[in-house]
Amino acid sequence: MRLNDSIDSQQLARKWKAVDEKIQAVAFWCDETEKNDSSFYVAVKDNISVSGLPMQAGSHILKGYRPVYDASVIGRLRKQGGHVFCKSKMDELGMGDTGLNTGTTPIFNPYDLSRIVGGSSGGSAALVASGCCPLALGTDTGDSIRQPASYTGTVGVKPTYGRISRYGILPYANSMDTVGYFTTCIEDAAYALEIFEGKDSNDMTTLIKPGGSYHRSLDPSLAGKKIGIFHSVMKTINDPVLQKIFDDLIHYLERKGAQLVDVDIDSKWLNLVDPVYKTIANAEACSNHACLDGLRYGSQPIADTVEQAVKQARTTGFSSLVKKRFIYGAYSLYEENQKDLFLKAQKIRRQIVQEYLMMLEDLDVLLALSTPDIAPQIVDLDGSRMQIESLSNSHLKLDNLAGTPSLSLPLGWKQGCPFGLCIRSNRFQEQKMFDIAKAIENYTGLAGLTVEV
Amino acid sequence: MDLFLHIGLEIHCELKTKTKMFSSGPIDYHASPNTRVQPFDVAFPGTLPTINQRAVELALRACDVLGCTIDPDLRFDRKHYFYPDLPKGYQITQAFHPLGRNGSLMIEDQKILIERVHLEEDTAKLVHKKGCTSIDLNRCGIPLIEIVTQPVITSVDAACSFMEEILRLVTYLEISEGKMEKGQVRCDVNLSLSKDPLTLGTKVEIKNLNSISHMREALHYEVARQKEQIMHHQTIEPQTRRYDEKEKKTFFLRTKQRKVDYRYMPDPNLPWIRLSKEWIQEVLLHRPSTYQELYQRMTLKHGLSEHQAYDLLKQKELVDLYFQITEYTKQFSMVANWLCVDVRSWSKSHEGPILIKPEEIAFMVNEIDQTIPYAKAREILKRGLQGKPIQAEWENYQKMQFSSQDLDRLIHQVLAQNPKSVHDYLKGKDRALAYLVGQCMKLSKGNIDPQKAKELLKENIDHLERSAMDEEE
Repeated sequence: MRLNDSIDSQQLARKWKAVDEKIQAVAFWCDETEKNDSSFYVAVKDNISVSGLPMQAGSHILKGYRPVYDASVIGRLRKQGGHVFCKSKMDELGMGDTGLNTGTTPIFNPYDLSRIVGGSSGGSAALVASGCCPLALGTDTGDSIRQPASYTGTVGVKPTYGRISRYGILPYANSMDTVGYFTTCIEDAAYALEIFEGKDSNDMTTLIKPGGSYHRSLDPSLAGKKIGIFHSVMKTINDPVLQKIFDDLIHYLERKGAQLVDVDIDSKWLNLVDPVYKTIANAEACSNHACLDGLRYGSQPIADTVEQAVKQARTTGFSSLVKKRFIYGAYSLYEENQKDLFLKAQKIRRQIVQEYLMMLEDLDVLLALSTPDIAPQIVDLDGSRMQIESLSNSHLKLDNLAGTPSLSLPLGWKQGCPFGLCIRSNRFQEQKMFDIAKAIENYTGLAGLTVEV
Repeated sequence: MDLFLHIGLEIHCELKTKTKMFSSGPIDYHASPNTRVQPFDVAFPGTLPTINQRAVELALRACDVLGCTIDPDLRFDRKHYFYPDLPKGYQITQAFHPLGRNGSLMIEDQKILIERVHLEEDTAKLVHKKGCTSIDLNRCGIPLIEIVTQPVITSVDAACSFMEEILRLVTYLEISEGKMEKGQVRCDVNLSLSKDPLTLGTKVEIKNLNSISHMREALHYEVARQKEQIMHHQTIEPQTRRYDEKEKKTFFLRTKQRKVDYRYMPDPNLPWIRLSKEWIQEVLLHRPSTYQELYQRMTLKHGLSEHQAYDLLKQKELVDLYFQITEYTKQFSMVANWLCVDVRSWSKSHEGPILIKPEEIAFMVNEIDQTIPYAKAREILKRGLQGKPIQAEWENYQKMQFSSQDLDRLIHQVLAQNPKSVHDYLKGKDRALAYLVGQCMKLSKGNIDPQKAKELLKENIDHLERSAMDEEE
């Protein structure tokens, strides 16, 4: 496990600063005077509250805000000897999948500085990929951990909804927000879940489920394992390099005695994943961020009236991309639209989830590529700061709609850049997910993968 | 022209809990502004609500006593609007699934239908002073129930009676402290006048009435104002008004033409909680007595007059004290009178709770006409209210009684029983006088003042001596 590697904190600080000059992944440094060489250092996504450290979540409206309390995961991290080294940059309020919408400079991919890092947990992904830290905290509402993990050759884990407390996490969409993390190997990933999971009296959506000793229980045997291949998603992969690497993996798994099956959900449901996700996420986000009015914290503009102050704070505080989502969100909740938009989305969500869970029920794990390709070039995104949605990337959102665990693990290379494999299992079946992931990691030999920037 | 009045009430009632509805922020009405605030109450990003179980229990009690059908699925929704009294930008309430529905309450032989009783959180308090508005977040998040009636109340008196009855219910069942003057219970009134008894007229709302007398005045004024308008064939616009207590008039606040869209949605941070039948029953079983039950006990078991019972029931603190005191005494009527007269007048001019111990009061009441006359006992009790120990006051009184009535007899007795000591004293032995004083103390069981005894002894001996000398002459 790399989490136990001893390190020299001074040397580490120098390395981090040098790396960050190139990849621009740090939002705020932690000026901790007491540094302990026996502990491990962790980057924390800038939407996770750390008492006394600034938290801006990539948004101007939170300029100057310093939380007065720690998120529950920070408490758990410290109990296990972890130290917060920095807050990592992110797409504004978790909205964005590129690492370009950060309110400041873009975050650059450590493998190729001309490429995006992905998002919204891009900063954390980049810092783990560049060998700065063995563990970084992120959050995943749609694909915000797994997609940047794929683009940066890291292990990105989104556990079951309810496993890890959300207390202290600036929300995006509460019913799908999941705290997760990046590591460089499956052993660390399994161990990290032991650190962070558990019922929290501050978060009523955390569930009491027997935790695991995931790390010690890791079992990479493949014989007899039932592994599904997500047919509709893999059908959309048209890159021959990625396709070949995936096919090679499948043959390997079969040789090792795993039972591979093609599985699928009716395309009528799959095509609805993206609109349903957006409708719900935007509505929840619009509601959650109503507290960002500039009256009590963050950018507090001086104005003649309360209305003017709020208007000014929100007009200048949010990017147009965020405002657009708020408008969609509010629109779908208006009384006259609720039934056709928000409520309908909820109804369809339940049906999609039912189909998806049925598909997972018979399987140990389900496989598909995390992303249809390696990270896109920044110039190719043409200033939109958003990627084009297609089934090949929206399928990751299924796990947010369903609350199921899902991870991305580096699988192979194209043009010197990594891409990931998505492994998912049924709710609270993280052990199965880690077991197969460990077997595949043994096959790829990419455990502990980092890159010199 | 006959006009028919329809009134509906929306009553907000703060629940009597130690902490807030969704945070561990303590509730303290006397605390300085913004000192009873948790991160959640300020809506710091990332804070999450947790449900106050006690608040749910009290709300269930209210639903039960108002005869509501209880929804066993506890669910909360968000009601959105931007206003500085609402830090989160939404209020957590029960829009879609109120805890109680379809209740009723009998008022003067009329069944007042209650549409819903639901749980929610209070907003922050805005204090307007000198053109400046301050926000006190202490109130933000205090648990509330909102009781909404159908617009079926047809007179101002019935509306006020309904409100009085609600206040009594919530106070006696300890659902709320029930003090309108402290803002713990607030009332919004909807009223309309129409020419047809079966259809409602245009709805006008009067917001935030904070006492029953204001409610009565506001309603009378508003009814008269609208009648006047209708007589002059003016149309009434749907609107919200406020009542000015000084001018005794209602004033236009805003129109209701443009409806606010609150964008209700279920709160994804709070899971649905299924309340089991057994748990609900258990909660409803353990409740304080209603005031009707207390009335029965006072009149039937204790023999208080109707008037006495009603008089006591006006003030719950007195009723509580009454039952505590009557644990120790059977002088029911005496206790009731004393509470209604002396204690009530004392509590009107003093802040804070009544600190006198019930067993002390009972003791005093039991002594009346035995060892102490009524008037004296009342004086002592009055001093007791001011914090003086009652037992000690009574003992003092007893001592005083001893000295004035029986002291002479005692002195004579001591002198008659100890001629030798008298003789010694007369010879100039001072120690003999000390011995006599000692004898007085012994006989009186220490209930006299030794200094006083000494003086009286001297006086008496001198007197004896003089009369002896007179005889010799």
